[in-house]
Amino acid sequence: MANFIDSVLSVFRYMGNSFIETLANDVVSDDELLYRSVSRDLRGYSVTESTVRISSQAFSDRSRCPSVDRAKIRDHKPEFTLKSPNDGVVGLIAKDVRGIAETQNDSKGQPICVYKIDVFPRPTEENPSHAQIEPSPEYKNSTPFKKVLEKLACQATIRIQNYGWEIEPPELRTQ
Amino acid sequence: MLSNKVNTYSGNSPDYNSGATSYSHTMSNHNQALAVPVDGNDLGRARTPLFGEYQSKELSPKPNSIVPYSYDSLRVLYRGYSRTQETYRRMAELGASNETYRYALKWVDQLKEVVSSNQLWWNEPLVNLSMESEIVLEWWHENKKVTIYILCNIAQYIKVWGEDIDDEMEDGFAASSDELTELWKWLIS
Repeated sequence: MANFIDSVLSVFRYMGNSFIETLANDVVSDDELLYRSVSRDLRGYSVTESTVRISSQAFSDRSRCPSVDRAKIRDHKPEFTLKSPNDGVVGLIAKDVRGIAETQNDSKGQPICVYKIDVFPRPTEENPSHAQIEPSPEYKNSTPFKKVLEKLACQATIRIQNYGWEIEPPELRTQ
Repeated sequence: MLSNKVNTYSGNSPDYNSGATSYSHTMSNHNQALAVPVDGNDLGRARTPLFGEYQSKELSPKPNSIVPYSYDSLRVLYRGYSRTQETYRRMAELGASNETYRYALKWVDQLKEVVSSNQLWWNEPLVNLSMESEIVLEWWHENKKVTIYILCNIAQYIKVWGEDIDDEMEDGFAASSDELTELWKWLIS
C-alpha cells in the first residue's frame, strides 16, 4: 500500500515539476497583465483626498528583480496575489515594463551602460504565475535600479488613474 | 513661551523583550509635538511606550540642548507604530543611535529650515525603509517628484518629472542648505 501511495505521489510530483518546467520555458507576452501586491504596512502607496501615488518602494526587491504574478496564469484573479487583506493589487502591462530602458552615465554624463528591462517567467511550486522584472545586464550599482523603481511606480500610478486598482486597498474599498 | 515638554513612558513590550524605556516629545514654539529618542535607546525600545504606562512632566527650557524642532516626517514612525506595520518595525530595528537614522533627522530638519525660511510649500513625505536599509523619503508636487535615499550620512536624490519619465529623471546628492533649497525650489516650481 505504501509503495502504491509513493508511486502515485511521485507521478504527481513529476507532473508538477513538468508543469513548472513548461511554465519556466514559457514567454511572457507583451499584452500580459502583471499583478503586484502593494502593501499598506510597508507604505507602498500614498492616498490623499484627490490622488493616489504608488511609492517606488512598492516594487523594491532585495535581489533587484521585482516579483509579479502573471494574470493569465492566475486566471485573472488578483485576489491570489494579495498578500494581506490590508494590501492592494496594482497592474502593469508587460510591454510597458519592457519599454523601460535605463541608461547609466558616468560622472561626466557620458553613457556607460544601457539596461534593458524584461519580464521572465519564474514559476515556483507555490506560485506557478510568478515572474520577475529583470535587467540585462545586471545593475552595476543601486542607482539605475532606483530609477527603474520610479518608472514601475509611475506606470502603476498611471494604470490606476486610467483603469483603477486590480484590488483596491482597504481605505478605498466601498463598504 | 518656548517650553520643552518631555513625556516619559515606561513599560514592557509584549513583542520586544526590551524593558523600561524613555521617549520624549518636545513642544516647539509652533506648538508641535515632536518625538525625540533619548539617551541612545534603540527605537525598538523607544516605541514600547505605546504598550506601556504614560507619564508627562514639564521641564524648563535648555537653551544649549540640541533639540530638533521639527521632524514630523519621522515622528510618525513612533506615533503610528503598530506591530502590524512592517516599515515601522524595520525602522525601529535600525536603532536611535543608527547613523542613517540620525542623519535622516538632521537632513529633514535642515530641509524644514530651508522651507520655513523661504516660506515654501511643505507636505509630509511618504517614509520607507529600503531593502538596503536606506531611509527613503518621497514627495510629490503636481507632476514632479523627489525621492531621497539616506544611508549613513549621504542623501541621494532622484528627481522625476514630465510626461516621458524614461528621459526625465535625474539623480544627485543634496547635503548643503543651498543644495536643499535648489532641490525644493525645483520640486515646487
